[in-house]
Amino acid sequence: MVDRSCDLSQDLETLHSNEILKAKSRYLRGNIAEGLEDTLTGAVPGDDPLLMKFHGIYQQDDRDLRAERQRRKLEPNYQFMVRMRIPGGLLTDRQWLGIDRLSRLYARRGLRITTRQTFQLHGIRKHHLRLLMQGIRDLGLSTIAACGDDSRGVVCGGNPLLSRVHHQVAQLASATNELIIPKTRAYPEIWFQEPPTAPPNAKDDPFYGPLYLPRKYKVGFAIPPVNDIDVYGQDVGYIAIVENGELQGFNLCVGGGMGQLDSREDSYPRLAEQLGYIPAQEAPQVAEIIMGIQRDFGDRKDRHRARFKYTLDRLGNAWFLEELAKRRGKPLEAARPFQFVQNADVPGWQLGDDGLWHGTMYIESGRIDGALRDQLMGFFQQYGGRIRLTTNQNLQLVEVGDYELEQVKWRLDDLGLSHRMEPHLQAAHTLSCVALPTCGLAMAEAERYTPRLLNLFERLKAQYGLQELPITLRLTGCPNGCARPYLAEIALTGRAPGLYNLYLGGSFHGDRMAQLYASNVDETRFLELTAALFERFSAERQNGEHFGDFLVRAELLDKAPVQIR
Amino acid sequence: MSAPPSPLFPPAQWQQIEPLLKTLDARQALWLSGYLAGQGGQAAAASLPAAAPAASSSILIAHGGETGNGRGLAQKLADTVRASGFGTDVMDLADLRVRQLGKRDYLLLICSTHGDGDPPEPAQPFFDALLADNAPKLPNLRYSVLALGDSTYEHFCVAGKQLDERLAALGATRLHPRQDCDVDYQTPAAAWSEAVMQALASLTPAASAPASAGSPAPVAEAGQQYSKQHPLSVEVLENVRLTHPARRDAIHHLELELPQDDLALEPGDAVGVLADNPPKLVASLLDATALPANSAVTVAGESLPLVQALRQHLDLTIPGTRFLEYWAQLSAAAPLLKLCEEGASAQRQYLKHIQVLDIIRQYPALPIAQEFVDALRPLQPRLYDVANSLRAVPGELHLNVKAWSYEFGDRLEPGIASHYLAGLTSGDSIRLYPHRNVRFHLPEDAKAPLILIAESTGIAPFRAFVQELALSDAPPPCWLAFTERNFEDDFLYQTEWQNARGKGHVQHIDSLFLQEQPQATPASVVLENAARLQQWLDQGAHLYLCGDKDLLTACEAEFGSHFGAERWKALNKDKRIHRNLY
Repeated sequence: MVDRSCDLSQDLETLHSNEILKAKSRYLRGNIAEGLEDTLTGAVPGDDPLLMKFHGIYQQDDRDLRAERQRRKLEPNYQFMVRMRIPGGLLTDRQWLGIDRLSRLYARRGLRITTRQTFQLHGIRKHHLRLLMQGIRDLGLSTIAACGDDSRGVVCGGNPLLSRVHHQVAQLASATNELIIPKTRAYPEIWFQEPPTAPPNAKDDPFYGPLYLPRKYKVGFAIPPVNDIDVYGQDVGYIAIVENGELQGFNLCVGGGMGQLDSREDSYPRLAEQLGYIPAQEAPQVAEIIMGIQRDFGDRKDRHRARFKYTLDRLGNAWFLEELAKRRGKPLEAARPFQFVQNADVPGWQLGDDGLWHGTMYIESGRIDGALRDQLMGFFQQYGGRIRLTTNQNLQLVEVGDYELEQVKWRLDDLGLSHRMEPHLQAAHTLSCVALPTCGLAMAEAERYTPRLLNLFERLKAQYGLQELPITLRLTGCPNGCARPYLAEIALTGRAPGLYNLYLGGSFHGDRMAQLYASNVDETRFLELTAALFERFSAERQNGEHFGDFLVRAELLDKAPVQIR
Repeated sequence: MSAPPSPLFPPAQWQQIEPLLKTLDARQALWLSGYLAGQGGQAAAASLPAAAPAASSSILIAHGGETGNGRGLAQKLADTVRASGFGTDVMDLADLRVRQLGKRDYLLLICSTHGDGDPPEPAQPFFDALLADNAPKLPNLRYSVLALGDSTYEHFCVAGKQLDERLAALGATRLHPRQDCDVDYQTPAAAWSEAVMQALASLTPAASAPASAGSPAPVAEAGQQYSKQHPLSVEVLENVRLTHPARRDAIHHLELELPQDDLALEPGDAVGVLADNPPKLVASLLDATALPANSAVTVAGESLPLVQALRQHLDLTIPGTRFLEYWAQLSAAAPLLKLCEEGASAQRQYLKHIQVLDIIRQYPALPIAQEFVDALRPLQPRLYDVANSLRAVPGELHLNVKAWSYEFGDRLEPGIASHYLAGLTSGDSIRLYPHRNVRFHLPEDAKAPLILIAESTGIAPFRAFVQELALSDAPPPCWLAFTERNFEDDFLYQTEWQNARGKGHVQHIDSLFLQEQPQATPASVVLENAARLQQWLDQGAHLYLCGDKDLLTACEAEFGSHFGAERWKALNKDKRIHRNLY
């Protein structure tokens, strides 16, 4: 018998308070509309900020100003982060220019490309929220379920060299996205002030039901040999199987997830496990079926054990495969062979098999603000191709015709953008989350510290002759894992201002977890520890060996320095 | 029925007193003790607290944290404390001020450490004040600290340790040694609570009576009158700039210590502040006149050095006709002499556009100190509305001050009094006296709804109103409309208004921020709910206007044209419109 003591079969009153909140929210309406009208505060009162996440909106405040404003008898400097939903990260030039304009009207820190290939706008004031949401709608985009306990934006990897396959996979990703997003009328009612067509009822979201999911649910598609999306970090990861240039289907991986709490032993990052193979056209339905399984069996009492990875660990793969086969009507086929070689982007121009050009442009921490925003706006005013955001926070110019390539390069040159297309290896292999001052979870700096860290790191590499070798380096402000730190060769996760936990030994293409090497290291200690390992690496490195692989082969990770505990 | 605590009371009288005392809450008890002390001297004050525990002997449980663990523990502890028959208050360190501890006998602190050894962010002001060099001594306080932390950090429980050590250094006594807790805090926290309860039980009966009864508040001579001539000197406790650092006419919140509670200031009243002239201006005048700073002069019959007369007693900016005549004679400057022969209106016109120092620099001369002093006008006090209710916040006087500047020819001149107040720091002392605003008091009918319309620092008396209303069992409906520049930085006392609305002390708060809604007016914002306004007025509401004269006069005119001149006249006649405009 399956243990159902913590899932939605239990009495609502015994579940986590967030479940009760969702149940009473009338399909995500809550009192958001009333809270928007309250002029005494820049926040949305009560529990509504939790519901607004399902609408793609995080309530935040500028933490740099908290103490000063408290003294001044003012509430925190409340503001909102709005995250869009851009399946596969694909945009037209018109959409780019529209988003650029919205960011100038309503946002404070430009645009930020996220690790789920979408845009975040920071610093939106409450009285601008509706205007912004309507502006996003007018561009044919949405923010629904970009956060919250639901299916987040479906990511789709890129592979310019297999353009036709990429097209097919991107279409499946988009179809999956459409199938599994929440459909509640709360969204147009609140943000577009559309009149209700009916009172809130089960038809709002028949598949999700009133409790939605126990936690977030992430689906991603990767196209080997590039694992840019970090398929092993997804709740459901699809690895495209291509034979003779044709897309056949997908290997199915389940149960990946980055988040953990430092204070709980039973909270951990986990790699998705590859369990089988499905035909290509079934991908959307299978993602929905698995979402249904997680909806029905996920832990709704303990939010720190609610992700799908814990459901799988609790109930077992055998149970899952049986449940999946039952709901799907047939078992999975055996997984097929494939190979990954990297999980980063390759900056610069590549010619696709469809004869069109694809250029990857490096964007530090995905932040597009100030001069860079102006340069890109200028560029996209005369650009005929399409735009793709990558899961490594970079920007791709895709589907550029042969005839226009020369002119595009000229314009990039004119606007001072072409250096971003040069294969500046380390920067393109570095990720950071937003962290301070707006993220409520951050305990240390990330994005704002990246330029300095990157500089020191590159100097260190050069000292040991490693400047030509990319190493995946990821920096987050907390253990929650927004920049997928546990899949990096080197990662720092924030513990306190200036202090990080150092994780080492992930693989270069993201299929091996990094492990905790030292706790509470500051910058000096980080550089010392890394220098010692670089010294060994540069002396003992085998041909073509990556840093993470070397650490594992040389068994250096078990000889971790004494940890402060 | 217990025996009278003192042979002073015959049992029959005590029978009447005791039931009443039992019904008092902490605030009422405190007020009553002060009231009786003022009425009858020390005897009454000394005997009262023994019978009716005043606020001081209730046990303060304070918690600081960002995750809610501390709050949860504090509430649990409060339940235990209450169950044992003690009075208790639970406060967040974010809301607690160090000097309130001086009035307390028992403090139980639960505090977590964040990041690598930092106090909880909301509690930072408390920490800063406690660790400051001028923190008050706390010899009567008994306390114990429960420190929460995470031992995987190097600086484990540091915030709690800091509190513990600092309180001891300030003279407070540990009731029970500090307990440090790791992330699994439940068991040690429970053990600490139990130990603290035991310590309290063994101490309190003996300790609370002398601690609260032993230090009766100093009692002022009954009926002592402070005035412009006999101002009261008070100490500045705190000066907070409320507005953004970049704003030129910054608005400050000042808290002053009132050692005597006999100023008889009602909400709506003001104080006259005797400001000092800026030292720079005094120095410039001494330079320009070449007078020695220590020349002895007499001002209003009092002998004092010239520098003090210039700093505290004389108006150094606006010249009068007396000064004009004196300086004309002294300097023998033809233009001044000519002006003296012209009519009063020409002189007034001239004096309006020139300041004392300008005249002296333009027509240099060497005056005699006493003559110079006699020629200047006396420095006038400036009135500031009191921003707190003295009943709600006893022992303190709050002011809300805009550092105002005015254009004078091609330069910007700082307002003397407002810049003086804005520049004060804690520990400075200032001279003031009470000024009653009888026509701006709360209505006699305690049920009459209140409509309070404030522009900028005009919010001050309304803050006092609302604090006063919060003490009432049945406060009247209250509607506040506030006008300033910008929501994010100029919402004066925003968190207090949020609190007041949350507790139902104010029902409606409208705000107008002119940078965001330049086309709106205070009246148009209120008239968005015209039906409610009509209804409240029909129910006998009183309307108060406080702040900028032009803006609020226009506001009243809009109301007048909305409701009709006759209706407005009638309201005026009923004395239901109250104005405090400047």
